Amino acid sequence: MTLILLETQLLVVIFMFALAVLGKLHAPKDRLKVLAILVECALCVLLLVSAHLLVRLATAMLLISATWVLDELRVLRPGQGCGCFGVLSTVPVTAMTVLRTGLLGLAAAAAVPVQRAGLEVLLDLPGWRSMVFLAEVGLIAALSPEISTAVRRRPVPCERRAVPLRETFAVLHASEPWRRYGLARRSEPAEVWREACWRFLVYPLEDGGEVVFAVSLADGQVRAATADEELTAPVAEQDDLQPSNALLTRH
Amino acid sequence: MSTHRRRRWRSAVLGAPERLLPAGEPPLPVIEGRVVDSSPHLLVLWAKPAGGGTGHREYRVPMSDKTSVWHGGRAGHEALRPGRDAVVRPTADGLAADRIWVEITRVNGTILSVTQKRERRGLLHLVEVDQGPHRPHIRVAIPPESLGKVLVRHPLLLPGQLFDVIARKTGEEPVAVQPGSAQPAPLTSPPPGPEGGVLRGTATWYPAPGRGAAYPRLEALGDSGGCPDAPDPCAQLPYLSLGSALEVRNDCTGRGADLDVVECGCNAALFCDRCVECGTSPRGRLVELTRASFVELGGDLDVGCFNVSVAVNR
Repeated sequence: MTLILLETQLLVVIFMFALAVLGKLHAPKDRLKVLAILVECALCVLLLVSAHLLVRLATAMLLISATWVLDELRVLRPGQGCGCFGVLSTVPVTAMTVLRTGLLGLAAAAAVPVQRAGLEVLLDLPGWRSMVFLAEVGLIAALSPEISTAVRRRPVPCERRAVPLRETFAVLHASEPWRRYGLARRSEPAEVWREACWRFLVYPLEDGGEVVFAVSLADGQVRAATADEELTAPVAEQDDLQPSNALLTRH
Repeated sequence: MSTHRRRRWRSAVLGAPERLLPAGEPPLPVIEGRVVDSSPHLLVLWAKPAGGGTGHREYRVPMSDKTSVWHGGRAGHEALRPGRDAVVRPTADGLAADRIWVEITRVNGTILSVTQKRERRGLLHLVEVDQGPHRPHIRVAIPPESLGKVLVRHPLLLPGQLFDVIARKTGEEPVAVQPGSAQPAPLTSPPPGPEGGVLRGTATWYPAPGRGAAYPRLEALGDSGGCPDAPDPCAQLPYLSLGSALEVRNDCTGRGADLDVVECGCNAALFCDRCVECGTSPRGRLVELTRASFVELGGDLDVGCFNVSVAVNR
């Protein structure tokens, strides 16, 4: 029974690393996050195929260090999420998050003396091992704020959705207003900016005028307008708030 | 890039924007400039018109015995020395100055380092602050008499911690007087999204001349003016650009104004605090206003924030 318990710890650690890698792959990445993905992915694969002591020790040390780092983060940056499972881990680190990582560290330490590689244990999963595995994963899920975040997740509304420029160009180039002005696909916009669900693109025309396209990021609608004289004329800065004459006298 | 041009382009292609906030009280005619001369009944300022424009003019501002002067705390008229920077808010009837802030500034951002210097009065804390990519790093001094007040809101004066103080400008580094607003508390759950296009939260100010707002969620693509490394703001804000028009209303005074986005407020995105100026606002700094815009909506610079409604056309 002890052997079953210890071997199941190995599977729990591998499973959690796999989830962490998947979560991080579906989130915006910077150099540090890419490094974290590579390390976790490498450990996940090594734990599956190798029973080498160094791999097990490295895993246990990584998780125990992570517990310490998370506890520091909880105190020093109380509003920050751990990013452990990508965008699901944006809620601030709590004592439960620290406890979860600590338990995973203990599981990794318990798996150090296991003689078999993860794949061999995985093949023996049915039976007692699967029950222990499910119970432990259930416990970890109960300690995870990511579960409630995942349940509450709704589609991001268009005004808060990050939309790459190439998607806007694709919609614009396929639209009727774009064809109407006969612009070449290679034309570079003079100005591009975004306001909530609309992206605006200004293009110079051959006759010296300008056309502005508004591309909806909600439904792909495209509208266009050309500049009239009023629009192209230089705009004087406005004195839109003058001090009251009753209060102030000017010299 | 002209902000007026973008607004007119938008109207040309999408039509006039719908107004989402009911018309409120008009903004107050604020003036900010340098003191030229002062007497107990009159303040003479050399200032630019609040709406921008070219050139400076001399303004004569009547003062009454109810006029309140701030210079690192409540001060007398002797604080209005020639050459000093002043922001004047008139009374509601517009007949005299109601409040005058002298040499007021604000330092907020992330602490880079903290050093201590022993002085006769006690320990002087020197805090180096990263104010974000659009504003310079700055060093602020916390004198022993202000340290207690600052520590109430910022108990961990350590590198990496958020920091926000109202300060008095001096010849050297600014001197902290009090914390800038309610504590930068931890985020427990995301604040609610906009109701019918109207966002509610906190408005703060930053030491910039003229009118306008720094907005924490500018898009980094194209010519929108955002920063690629800007953090996700605490409040659920839509993406906007430099030149976007905001309807801003001070929920405490009912005064409202249409303001242009003039700067990326990456720094404000870091703060997830509330304002308790009149009731408790939802979490998150929606806008950082310039000094004049903050005061024209009835805000007190030394308080640092007001509860705000911001409307954005989607």
